[in-house]
Order: sequence, then C-alpha cells, then structure tokens
Amino acid sequence: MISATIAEALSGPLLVKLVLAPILGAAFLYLRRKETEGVMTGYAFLAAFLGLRDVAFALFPFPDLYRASDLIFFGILCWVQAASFGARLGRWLPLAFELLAAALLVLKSALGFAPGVPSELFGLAALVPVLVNFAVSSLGRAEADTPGRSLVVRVRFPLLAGSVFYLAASALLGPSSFAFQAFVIPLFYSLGLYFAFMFVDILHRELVGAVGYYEESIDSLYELLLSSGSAMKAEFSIQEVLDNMAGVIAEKAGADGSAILLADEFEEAVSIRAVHGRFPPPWKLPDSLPRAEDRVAAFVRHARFRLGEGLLGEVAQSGKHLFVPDAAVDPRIPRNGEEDWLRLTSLIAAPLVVRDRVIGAVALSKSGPEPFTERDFDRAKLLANFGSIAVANSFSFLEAAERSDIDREASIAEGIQKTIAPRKIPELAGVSFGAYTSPARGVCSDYYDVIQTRADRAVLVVGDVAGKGVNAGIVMAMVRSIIHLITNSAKDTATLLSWVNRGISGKVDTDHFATLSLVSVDASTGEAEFSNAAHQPLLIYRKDADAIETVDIKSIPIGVERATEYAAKRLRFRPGDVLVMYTDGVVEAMNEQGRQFGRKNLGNAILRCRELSAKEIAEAIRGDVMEFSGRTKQHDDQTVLVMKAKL
Amino acid sequence: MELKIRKSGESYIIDVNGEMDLYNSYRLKELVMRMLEKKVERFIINLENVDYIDSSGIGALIYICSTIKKMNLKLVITNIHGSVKKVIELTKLMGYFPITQSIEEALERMEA
Amino acid sequence: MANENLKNGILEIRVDENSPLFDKTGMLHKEFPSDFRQIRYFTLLIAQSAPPDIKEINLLEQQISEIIKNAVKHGNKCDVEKKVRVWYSFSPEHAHLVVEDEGEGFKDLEKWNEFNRKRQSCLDSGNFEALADYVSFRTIKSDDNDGGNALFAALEYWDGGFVFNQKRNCIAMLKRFPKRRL
Repeated sequence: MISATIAEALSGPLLVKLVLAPILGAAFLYLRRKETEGVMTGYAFLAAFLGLRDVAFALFPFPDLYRASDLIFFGILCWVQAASFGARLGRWLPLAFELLAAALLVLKSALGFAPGVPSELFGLAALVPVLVNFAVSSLGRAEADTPGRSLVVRVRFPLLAGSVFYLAASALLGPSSFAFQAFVIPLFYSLGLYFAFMFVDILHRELVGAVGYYEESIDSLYELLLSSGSAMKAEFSIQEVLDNMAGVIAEKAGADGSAILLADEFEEAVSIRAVHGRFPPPWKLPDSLPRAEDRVAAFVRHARFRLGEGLLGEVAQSGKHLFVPDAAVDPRIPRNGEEDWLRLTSLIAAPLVVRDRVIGAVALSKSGPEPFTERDFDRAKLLANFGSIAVANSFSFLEAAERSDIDREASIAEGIQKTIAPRKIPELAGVSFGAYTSPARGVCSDYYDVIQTRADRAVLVVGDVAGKGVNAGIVMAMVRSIIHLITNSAKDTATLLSWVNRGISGKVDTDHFATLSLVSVDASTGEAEFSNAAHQPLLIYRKDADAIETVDIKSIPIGVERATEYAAKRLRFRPGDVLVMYTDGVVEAMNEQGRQFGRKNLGNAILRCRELSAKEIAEAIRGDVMEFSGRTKQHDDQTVLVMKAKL
Repeated sequence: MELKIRKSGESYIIDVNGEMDLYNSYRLKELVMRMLEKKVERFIINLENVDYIDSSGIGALIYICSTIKKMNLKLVITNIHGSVKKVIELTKLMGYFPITQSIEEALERMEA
Repeated sequence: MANENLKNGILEIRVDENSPLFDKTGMLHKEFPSDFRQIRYFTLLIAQSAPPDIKEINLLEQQISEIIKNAVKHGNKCDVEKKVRVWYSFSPEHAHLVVEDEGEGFKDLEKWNEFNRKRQSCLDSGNFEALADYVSFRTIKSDDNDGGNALFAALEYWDGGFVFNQKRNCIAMLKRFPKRRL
C-alpha cells in the first residue's frame, strides 16, 4: 500500500518539486557564504520547508494542509526579508498573523469550526505578509547597501507578482488540482532560481565596482607620482611640482579647485603655495578687499595662517582631516559675498604628512551643485598621503641640486626609499618578527613590510624592484601604497597580487617590474596564505620535523603582463615554526672564490638558530652572509624578514 | 607605446610615444599597412617621444621604409635622439633611412 | 681604440673556443627560464648592476636585451624548460657578458658573416639601392620580426670582442669605455 502510494506520488508532479527544492536549497546554501544578513540562509530553510511539505502533501493530500503551509511559508518569507532591514514590526507582525491564520485553518479543517468561511479565504490571508514584504522592501530602497538587502529590494516586484499569481491560482484551482500541482507550483519554485541568479549578479557588480574603484585609485596615484617624477626630470622648479600636483589632485578627486599649503621654514605657520582652478576661500575675507575675481585670487594665492588659525591652520597643526560636505549649513564656513565664484559648496582638507611630521595641507573645493561624497573624501586622503612624498622628495632634490646628475638621481631614489621604509614592525600576539636590510649601493630596490590588518592578522611582504633610480623608487612607492590600500579589503593574497600587477602593468614608462612575496597570517590560529610573483621560495623551519621546508609557486613578476593570474597556497604554522622571507641578494651573495651563498647555507643558518628569537635569527643570517662574502663587494640589496610562531 | 595620427596638409604624421621594443613594434607596422590600404601617400614618423628602440623597432622601420619605397610613396623619419639615434648609428642605417631633424623639415621634404 | 671584431677592415663574428672572454672568474651569474615575455625583465636584472655612467641612458640595456632575446628565441626556441645562463661583470671602464643557451648553436654563422660583408660593401660604396637587399638577414627559420639587425649593431657596440664558442651556443662579449677625465 505504501509502495503503491510512493510509486503513484513519484510518477506525479511531486518528482519535479522534489528535484527543484534540493537544487534551490543547495544554491542558497552555497551563496550563504557571500552575505551576512542571513537572507540566503533563510531562503535555504524555506526551500527545505517547501520540499518537506510537498512530501507531506503527497502522503496526506489534504488541501487545507497545503494552504496552511502556504500561510506559514509566506509568513516566514516576509520575516526573512524584513529581518535583513532589521524591521521589527515588519517581520513579527505578519508572521504572527500567518501562524494564527494557519492554526485557525487547521482547526477548522480538523474540527469543522466556522464552516461558513471558505478555506480559500484563509488562503488569501497570505496576501498580508506578501504586501507587508513589498512595502518593507520598497521603503528600504535607500538603505540597500549590502548584497542581501540589494537582493530583497531588487526582486520585490517579481516576488509580489509571483506571489499574487500563486495565491490566486491556489484560490481558484485549489491545491489538489493537477494543473496547480504540475504547473503553478514548479513555476513558483523556479522564482527561487531567479532570485539566486539575481544575487550572483549583485555580487558580481559589487566586485566590478570595487575593482573599478581600486583601479581608479591606483591610476590616480600613478599619475600623481609620475607627474611629480617628470617635473623633477625636466627643468626643475618646486613651483612646477606643486602646481602640477594641485592640478592632478583636483582632477582625481573631482574637485573644482585645490590649494596646496606648506609649512613655513622658520615660523609656525603654513602658506598657500599653489592654487588650481576655482578655489573659493573657506575663511573670512577682509571686508575692505574688493570682490573682484582677480583681486581675491591674488589674495588667496599668498594667504598665510598660523598653526591652529582657521580651518586650514587647524588641519596643519592637528594633522586631522577635514570634511565639510555641505558648506552652506556649516557655521565654520563664512559667507564672503553673493558672487557665484565665491560660493563654496563642499570642502575637503587633508594634512600632508611625512614620517609623522605635518609639512602642510591640501584643500579641495567644489563650487557646483554636487557636493563631495564619502568616496571623494577617501580618494582625497589617499592622494594627500602620496602628495606628501612627492613634496618631500622635491625638497630633497633641491638640496642635492649641486651634485652631479647621477648622484642626484640616486639621492632622490634614496629619499623616496627612506620615506617608505616601514617605521615599526607591529606587535602581534603569538608571533615575533625580525628583519634586516642591507642595500648594495646606497639606493635599495628591495622592499619589506609587515602590515597589520586586524588585531591578530598581518600581511608580510617582501619585494624586489628591478632597476635602480627614480623610476624604480616610484614603482616601489606605488607597490607599497597599493598593498596598503587593498590589504584591508580582506581579499586573498592571489587577488592582492593580481591587483598590484594590474596597477602597474602597461603604463608608458619601463622599469616597472618587481618580484613580490606575500604571506597573510592569522596569528591566533597559525593559518596563513602565501602568494608569489616570481620571488624567492619561502623557507620554513618546521619544529615537528626539525627540518627546513621550501615552499614555492611558479609565477612571473608583476609588471610583465596585465592579465597574469596568480595562485595562492595555504600554510599552517605551529608553535616553534620559523618563516623566512628574503631577496635574491641574500642567496646570490658571492664569496672570493666566486661561489654563491645559496639556499642551503641559508637553511643551515636557520636550523642552527632554530631556538633563538626571530630578531636573533635575522641577525645570525646577516652575520653568516657577511662572513661568507668576506671582502667581496656586495652587488645586490639583501633583505631578510623572519617570523617565528611563539611556543 | 601609443600611436597618434594627425594631418598637416597632405602629409600624415604618426606620433610615437614610449618605447619601440620586441613586444610592441609590430603595431607601428600594422598601422602603416592600414594607412596604406586607405591610400595614404605621405608619411612622417615622429620619434620625438621615443627614448628606446631595439632591433624589432629597427626591423619595423626597415619594413615600413622598404614597402613605402617600393610603392613610390613618401616617408620621412624625424626627431630621433638619444639612444634611438645611437642604435641607428650602430646599425649604420643613418644613410638608408630618410631622416630629418624636425617635422618642419620633413614637411618641406614632402613638398619637394 | 680599434674594434676587436675587425678583420681586414670587415667586422665579423668569430668562433674562438679559447678566447679569454670566456673566462668567467669574478663574474656574477644568473639563470633564467626561456620565457619570451620576461626578456626585458631579465635584462633589467642584469643591467641594474652596471654603474650609471656606462649605461648611456639605456643603450647598454638595449644591447643586452638583444643577446638575451636571441638566446631565448633562437637558441632555446622559447621553451620555458630550457635555461639561459648569463655571466656578467661591469665597471666604469668595461661591460663583460657571457650568454649560454641550450640550443643547437648558430648554424648560419658563416652565412651571416658573408651577408654582412656584402652589406658593408654597399655601405662603403654609398650604394643605398643595393643596400636595400642587405638590411635584413633572413633564413628559413626567421619570422617577420627577425632581421639580424641586432647582430649588426652588436658587432659595432661590443668593440672589445664578440665571439662564439665552438658549439655556437655560447657567446662572449666585451665593451670598453674610455676612462673619464675628471
């Protein structure tokens, strides 16, 4: 009897539904990983719910059971979607209503209570959550800033239409009708597949948007550095560098005007040194100053503020950024006149900081109807950071102007390099770090960094830029800035490398190749990820094997081909393990017999020092290499970065 | 490497920006071929903004030069400097390539 | 200083297994896979060790890239599994390079020298029409981007000598730079 029922059930529409429900469930479970509001989890649960109730209906084909489960379904669906917006009433009220209606229906069915009220009417009670759902989704349009919420907003019309269609069909045809089971139900379930696709599309657009944003930021940085670099190569004048920079920053931040202020040499004050475009002064102009455009422009161009005086003086003194999105309502911005060229819509001011010292500020203005957005503010902060380096280097260049061309180039590159050497290696619980770097000829083309992304996470970077000179220094500054920019985006290391590569490939100048090695480590679990762009393999001392492990990934350097795909490997560090990252100058160091130091000697040095701290291991390696080289001149930069997992 | 085209009178000036190396020199060749298909007859290749050229670049220039000569059309290469000039000198092709010091001179030659 | 590659007034590439230019003592060493895409990168890795004075903007780099390109493309046929070995040493007065590939060797060397002789005689007599036939050296193995131009320039540039080993898969070269008058 049971087998006959099952056979009959399986040969009917149940089969289609039994196939659809798991597919939907699987799709939603997979997509669950991509969002945090729990919308996908909710959908997966609903898919399971639908599958189960279809099986139940096949065994106990009572229409009222079906209708009751529909009520519960729509109630939960509304709950899931409203919950993503945090709506309290919007989720609990309809759900409660549905549960009540479902309970009443079951009672009516089982006990025959309220026979005058047709079951179909109960079925239509599901319209309540459907409409509430639609209302909440529509009202939440402005706050749809996460993938889960975007999906809910995006599918609200199809969901409304599909739900109404479904409920109407249920009321008119009845849940037991063949047409309803064989056509309407599968169609309705397929809506779920549509939702899954929409979600994937939303994720894709988000990624494209993020990539686009980062690429633009990288492009902006590159142009900024390039323009300061080329200004330095030609007939040099600080004024040109500043004018150039004011122009590039204004353009990249979408500003109508900009001004660069630099600290005075002797007094505690900042003066405006370059103005670009239309820059309405965000401070009170003297009443006696005629409101003629050229008079005001000349006045602004030579303005000076004591540290702490006025908005700009305050930025220069405190080193804190300033963002005034709507100048019209901000009491700090004075009204200097009714003329439209004096009208300031929006203002951003960022300090120029080099090695914890504020050397000036950059101010950006907008005069039109559109104010600066948060994105513009982020972009401006980034540009100001790198503008600082360009300005600092211009002054180093100026100092070195008496020396010969070659010396000058080396000292600019050195200047760039000095401003980007990591100031302090962060403290991370559970691991210790040690490092040393030894440049070969004054200018170092090696780069190392430990970037703390969270309390217990860091990204270790070691890189080697090909070529010497100003261009290589600029490339290194760019690579570092890009890495700092994107390590916070929580992408995997292979993606980080792809983005760094895209950022510097295909630009006009050459000398843009570098090898890079990235290890992203979670100090609390010891788990790590490694990615490599043609850099030297990692050497890891493993305490349990008491031996050195070599980890490598075959790849090409960054800057060769824009579309290069990089791979990542998962690693795990256990207490007592030691990770050593290094540049080829270490293993290729030559001794008087013309032999190279080699990876074997490096491995032996690590083995010998395996009980010592990371700092001591780094120093021991330095000592070994020096001893090996003897009096042979060092021909390439050497850098070693050590991380030890604490016991 | 970027290629830009502009016109001066009847002559087409190709401004080459960047480096002509083994990875991109073929693009100049292809551009000139396309222009020949479009019946362009007077070419000025301006290398003012080129600071690097290798044998592939030289090869491309030779190919362009010989093709244009065979078709009895006119070509001038102008504004070579620095290592680009040195490389052409090393290959002893200064006499082979039609070279002028400036675009003005090149335009004059076109008229002659 | 006379160009060492001159023989009876004509420049030619010689085969000399015993040339002192193959002595690699005191030279730095690097090895590369024969990846065509990375030729300029490998070149930069080598050229970056040279003192700025002898770089002549980027002429040294360009000359080195030609030799590496030949080793990668013609010697090793762009086979990434095959290596190119480079020994190099630089000082303000010299640039010395030895480049070895894993190929069969430059078989058409004699043909090339013959071709170059004819090219030279066109140049000497100022016969630019005839020169047109000698601007590009092609064999059946050449493609559109070859032309032997690299070698014409190399013989002029590496004036301290430009020689192949017996097997013709290893080439040694030297450029001398005049002492700078300070």
